[in-house]
Amino acid sequence: MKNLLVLLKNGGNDRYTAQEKIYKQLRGEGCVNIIYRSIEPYRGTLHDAEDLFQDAFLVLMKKLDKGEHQDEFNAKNYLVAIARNLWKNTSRSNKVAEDYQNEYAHDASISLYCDEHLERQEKRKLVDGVINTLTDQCKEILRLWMEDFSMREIAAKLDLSSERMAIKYKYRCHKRLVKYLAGRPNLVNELNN
Amino acid sequence: MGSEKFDRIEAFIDGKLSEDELKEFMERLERDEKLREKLEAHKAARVVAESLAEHDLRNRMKKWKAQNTGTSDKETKGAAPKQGVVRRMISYGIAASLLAFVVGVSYLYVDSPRYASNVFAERNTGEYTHAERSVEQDMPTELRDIHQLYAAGEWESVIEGVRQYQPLSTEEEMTLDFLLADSKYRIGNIDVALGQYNNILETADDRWHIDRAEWKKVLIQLESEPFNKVYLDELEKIAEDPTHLYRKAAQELISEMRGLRFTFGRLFI
Repeated sequence: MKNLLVLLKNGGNDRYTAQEKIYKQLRGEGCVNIIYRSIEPYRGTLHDAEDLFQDAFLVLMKKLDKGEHQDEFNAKNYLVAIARNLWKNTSRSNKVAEDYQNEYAHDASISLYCDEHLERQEKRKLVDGVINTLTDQCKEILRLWMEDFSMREIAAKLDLSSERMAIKYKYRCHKRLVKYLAGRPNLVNELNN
Repeated sequence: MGSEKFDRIEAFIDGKLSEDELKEFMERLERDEKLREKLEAHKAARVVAESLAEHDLRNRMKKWKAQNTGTSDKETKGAAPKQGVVRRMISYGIAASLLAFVVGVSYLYVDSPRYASNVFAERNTGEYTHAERSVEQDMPTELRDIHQLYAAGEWESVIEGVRQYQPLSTEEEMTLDFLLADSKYRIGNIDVALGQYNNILETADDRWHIDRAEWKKVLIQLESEPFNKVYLDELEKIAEDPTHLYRKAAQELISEMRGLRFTFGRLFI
């Protein structure tokens, strides 16, 4: 796990590799079934468990990106605790089986990350509206920048002539996005709160 | 907005300003409302950019899931079609083999005991049709009639004829006992047939009648319970008795019982 966390921190292709390995490792360790067992008594289906696993993985990646984890961090237990917390927040049930206890069962950071995640999901429509104003190239360049690809890598991926061109395009796209948002204070307010 | 100001705001969001730069930025932020608005716009832009990365990660997760499970949904169909097809074909192959195995075993389960019963029944009826059909010319007319009724398969009439006929000798009495036992067996009255053979075994004093009654009795018993250990032991006894008239027939039957269908029948019973 330690090596994977280093790769994750490196960003770019290393991050892709680490994300894929962590994802497959967690699935292989039966996380979906553990989640399913927790929600099944409360009308949760296997399909719900799959969705929760995906969402919990996104939350887990956020935590790992921020580097707020301890050395002996147990990704499996943390992910299951996130999924259980997310399930409690669903409209269908505010209950979850309590037979699965782990070191993160009462971790306060989980509630914070889950709340953030759910808020992001609620803002999804607004965000999608803004994304649709961007060109395909801008979407790609901003995504790669957020995924910590270097400007050289971005230039290579987008077939740009040089690293300098990548910096130029990224700046232009970023600026265009900020300008679009700056002219819509209400939208900015909703996205930031 | 100049590039320098733009970068400064980004550096602030990323926490990359030095102590002095941060202090200066905070002071400006306090008195400059426009800067505050710009900072908010930058933060909102981050929310949008993060969403792009999240969307991409979701897509990759779908692909990994499809690779993991061997299934592919609409979005991952193009990503790993060959692997999906091969896995599916292997799954179908395994499923078909299992199905064939289950059908085969089920068939043997149902068929084997029935097959075993039939083997004994065929042997039994075959024996009779050959042995009891012969009609001697010097027989009394009534006895000859009974034999002819037997040859015609008129079992009820045979039973009635035997009841009315007064045997003239012990030999005739034995013959009638065999005809009666077999007719009872043919109409499905197994217990009475077995009782009749037991009577023969108690009263007969010659080897031919005793061996024949033993043979018929064990065939009827094995037809009802083909894998009953007691009856099989009786059959073995006949096969091992060098003086028994039906030794060879018993040995043939035992040899037939070593076949696959018998073996399966024995397993399932």
